[in-house]
Amino acid sequence: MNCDRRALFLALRSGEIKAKYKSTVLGYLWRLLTPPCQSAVFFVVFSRFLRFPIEDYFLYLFTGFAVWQFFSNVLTQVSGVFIGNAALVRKTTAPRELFVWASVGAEAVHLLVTLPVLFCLALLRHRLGGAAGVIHLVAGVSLLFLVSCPLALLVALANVYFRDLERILQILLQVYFYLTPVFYSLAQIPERYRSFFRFNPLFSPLELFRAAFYGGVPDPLAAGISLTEGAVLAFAAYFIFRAKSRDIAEEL
Amino acid sequence: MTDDKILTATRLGKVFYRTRHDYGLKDILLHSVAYFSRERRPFVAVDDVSFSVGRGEALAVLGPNGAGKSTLLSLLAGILRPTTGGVNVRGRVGLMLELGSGFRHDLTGRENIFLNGLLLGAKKRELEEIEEEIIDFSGVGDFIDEPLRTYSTGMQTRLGFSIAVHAHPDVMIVDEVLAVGDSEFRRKCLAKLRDEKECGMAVVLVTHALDDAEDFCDSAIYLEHGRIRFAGATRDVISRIAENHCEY
Repeated sequence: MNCDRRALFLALRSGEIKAKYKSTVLGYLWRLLTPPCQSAVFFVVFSRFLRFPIEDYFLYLFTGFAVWQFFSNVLTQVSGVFIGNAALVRKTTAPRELFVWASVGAEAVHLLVTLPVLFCLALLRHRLGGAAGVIHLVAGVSLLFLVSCPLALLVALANVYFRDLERILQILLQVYFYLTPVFYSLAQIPERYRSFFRFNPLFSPLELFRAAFYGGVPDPLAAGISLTEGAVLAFAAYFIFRAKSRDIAEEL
Repeated sequence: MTDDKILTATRLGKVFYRTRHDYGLKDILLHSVAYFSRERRPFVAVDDVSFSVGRGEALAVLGPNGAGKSTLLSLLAGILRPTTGGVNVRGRVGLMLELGSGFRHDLTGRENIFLNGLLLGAKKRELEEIEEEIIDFSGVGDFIDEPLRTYSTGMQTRLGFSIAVHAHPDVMIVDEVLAVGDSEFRRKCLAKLRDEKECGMAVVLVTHALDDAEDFCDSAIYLEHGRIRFAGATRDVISRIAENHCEY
């Protein structure tokens, strides 16, 4: 049964990926192009015009956008997942969470594709961390998943009942983008605001991810907070989804 | 004996609440009183329906449009949760609901065989074994490696039916899809269903074609406004439909 769930997950995921790049010439390359393009824009604006004092700012941006885009894409994609798959959901009894995982999985593949580019860039700037870097990277990505997956389940489910969420999410994500140190560093924030950043669940994954390249010791308290938030979300998502997932077909 | 019944529905009922679905955020903010006090008018789609189907038996579900046939099938398949009563199924359910359901249009026919088959609960290994058989029966030929969106309606139905029937379900639920195929395919489908039925598969068939029902099904139920009006041997049910000048 497990093997079959996996096969179904893979089939759904490849559907997600194919749907996204259907009839585009560059296909997958688009994904490789987005983080560097965004990084380039921010690089020019904040490094050349506004003179941000961050070392290897392009790499800094690139790591930031890799994490941020995974998170924001997961939430945007997943919000429409049941409506987009309505034909499948309404006519089968397949476990509903698989549709969400397929969508998250497609984004995970995208993140994976971005990593080699990131490594090359880091190599160029002599910023490849050693064993500690690997540990930080793995921890960062795991924490990123722990935070993103339950949120994905909740957003996907909630959007079935309240479709405005999809639009509201766009706005919230924009605000959230500026509240997360994607293109600035914590050192630039006035001291009295800094401790608030720890409560941002994305803060620690991002910091860990960056530590893989920049070294340094990530804030253990922030990691703990992020881990707790992830765990609470996971519990909530698990129970809410289990209670409600059988009603999805009807609500669609 | 009740033991050999594969599918049993007991006093099945389903109530939908009709609400206005065009409420958005704007309406909630501007007309919040109306939004939260909006009436939820109940609509009884299926009411107190009981029957059972045994191994190798076929049941026809007859009735006019809107009688609750499709809702009933969704309940049997476990897609919708019944409001009252319950469904008991022993074994795997094969589903052939309306056209193109369970397919993704960006995937090829071959990929859809796996997607659809797995959604129906077949094992991956089984599907690999019967893949060629499915393609063969569906008659889509070398279109099998083309994306599904290039398929004609008939081709989609044929592939869908082929997957569903080759997955060897214990109960096959067929919703009025045979009407789409041409006469040759219809014959082929009915012959295949009959073969499987002889091997012990149970069939629940929704149809508006009374001769198909009479030809194929041992028993029938006639639904009207969600309730069973006639039930019994197919022939009897059909003659009572005719006597009472019922729509079907």
